[in-house]
Amino acid sequence: MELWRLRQANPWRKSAGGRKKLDVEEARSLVLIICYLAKQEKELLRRAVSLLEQVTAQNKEPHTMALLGDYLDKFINLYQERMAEETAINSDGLYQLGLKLLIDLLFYSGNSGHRLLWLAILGKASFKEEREKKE
Amino acid sequence: MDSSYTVIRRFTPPTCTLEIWGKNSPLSRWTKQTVVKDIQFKLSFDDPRILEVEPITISGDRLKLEQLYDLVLDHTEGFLAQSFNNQIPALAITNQEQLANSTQPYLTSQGLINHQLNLGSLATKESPTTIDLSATQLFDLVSALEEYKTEMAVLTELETQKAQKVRKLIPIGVSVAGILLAVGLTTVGIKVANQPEERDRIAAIEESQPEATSTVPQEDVIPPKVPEVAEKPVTGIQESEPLSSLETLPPPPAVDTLKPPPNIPDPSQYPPSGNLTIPPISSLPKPNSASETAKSTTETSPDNSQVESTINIPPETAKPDSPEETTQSETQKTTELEIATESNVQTATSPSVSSVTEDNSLQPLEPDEQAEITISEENVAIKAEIGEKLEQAASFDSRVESEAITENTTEENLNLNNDEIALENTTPKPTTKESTIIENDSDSIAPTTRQLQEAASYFRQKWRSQSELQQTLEYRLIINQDGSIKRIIPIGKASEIYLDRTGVPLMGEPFVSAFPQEQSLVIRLLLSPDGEVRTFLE
Repeated sequence: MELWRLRQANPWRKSAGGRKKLDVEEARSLVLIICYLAKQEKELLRRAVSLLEQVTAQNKEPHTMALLGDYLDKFINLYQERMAEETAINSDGLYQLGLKLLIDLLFYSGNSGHRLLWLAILGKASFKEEREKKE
Repeated sequence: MDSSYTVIRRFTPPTCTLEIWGKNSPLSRWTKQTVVKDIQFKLSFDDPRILEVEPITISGDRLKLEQLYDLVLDHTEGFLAQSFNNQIPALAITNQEQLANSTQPYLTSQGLINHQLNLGSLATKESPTTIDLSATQLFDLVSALEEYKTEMAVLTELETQKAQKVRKLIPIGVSVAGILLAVGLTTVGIKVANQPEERDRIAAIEESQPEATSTVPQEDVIPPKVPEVAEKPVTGIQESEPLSSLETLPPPPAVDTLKPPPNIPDPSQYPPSGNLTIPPISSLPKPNSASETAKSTTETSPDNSQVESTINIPPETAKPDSPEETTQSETQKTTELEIATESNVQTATSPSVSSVTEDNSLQPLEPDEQAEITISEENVAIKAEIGEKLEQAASFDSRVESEAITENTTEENLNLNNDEIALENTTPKPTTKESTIIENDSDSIAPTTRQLQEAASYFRQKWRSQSELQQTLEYRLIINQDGSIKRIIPIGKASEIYLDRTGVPLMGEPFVSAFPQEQSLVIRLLLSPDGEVRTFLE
């Protein structure tokens, strides 16, 4: 529960005022939690990404598929609801972001997922944890 | 592939298969896991959804695999990092610059879900130069490579370890040899220790005709003892020294100063302590054939008899229950083994008067002295045996104590070696320690146990067997310092229901007698349905 509150540390969140920055331990914990959750949902993630591939191969819009459509709706709603206005991305960008994060999550669900995520986070000093959106 | 190659690992994520081949290295014998060298790999993209006649396969040696691993991981990391840079690629395939004919393998992402692996130098004749990978395929490839990496990490670790293991083998071998030696010595010692018992009996029966009968059992035991000869002989040399020094008989007070430095136990030093306990040479019958000549010398030599008589008090005079006696006998027990082995070795060799063993063991001694020593030692062994038996018969209770004292006794032994005369004074010391400890214990335990007993008797009066009750009721009673109940914690549902039938006193009501401890006492109370009451301290 303590860690859950750390989400507030995301500077892009609407309620981000005054929250302290994440320290390394907290970030590390979040990474482990994200990867653990991703691992639990591994099969679903895989199915979703496979579906995405198929759909793309058939030149269809991903949101026409129920699984992907639901996910995208949920993601976009949550993002707009929780994230501050100034960082808002246009709907197309958000759409892409959602799919990208879906694929990322698949990678993080692997055995070395936490390492990949950690490296990705280190590669970008200021980061965000949209992955939680998925949950 | 070479027949000597064996598949050691096969990683099979859904869309690709990574097989690792390797030669079993001879090092495998040293480790439980197989150690491999000349690693080859074969990677096939066999996505079941894509119905191709031939799955795309690439293969190579370990170097290439490492290259591929780095490549794929770098690419994946870069791909994932895009999410943090707001560089989300379009879902649709974007046109990428094709670096044609590059020998360096590389991966490019083509849109969100498609990646192109350009094999470059990794490509083989059969395989195409580029492979298109979907996101899931890439993910599977990453998983396979990661698994391989972790597996290999283990294997290479093993490889480095085995070198250390070989180095470790030498000290291990030494220690193993040491352990074997120790075990061997103890078994021999035990056998020898049993020997005097037999001799003891025989000697008792045939006191009048000592010589012939006693030698027979000894000879039976001779073979196992031979190894000891090398170690023990030193003792014989030292024996002569203490004996001469004993004449002066320094006063007992020296003990205190000697006590602190417990010397490192040197096997060569044990025997002298045995000498001390030797006492009754003159009184005991000598069964040994070698003793014939010795008998006269021992009796005639005033030094030895004096020494023995002064020191040997313990076994005979000991009262069965006194802690002193146990310690004494304990020391004897420990020394007895040594003495017994020694005496047997010597007796075994002495009848034949073989010059070799004599040279080893007793060089410095005069022939007469030597003989005398063997006798006295033997007697000591017998004496010790008797003392031990007496003690065992007398007090079983004291055994526990004596066990606790063994530490002390070993210390004593050392002290004995330092100064034999100190023996008598040092032995009582540990015993006094013991007794004080016991007193302390009783001080601390007694009061609380009294409370326990009081609580138990209280509930025995109150608690009646309950026919409808199936299980044992369990309560935790927290008792105040004044003996009243501070809290009653029922453990389990039934205990809660039956609380009013237990007859437990009200809180604050005097219950057991007061006790001195600062903290409150916690008693576990068990009430069985059959009316049995048990209490434990917590």
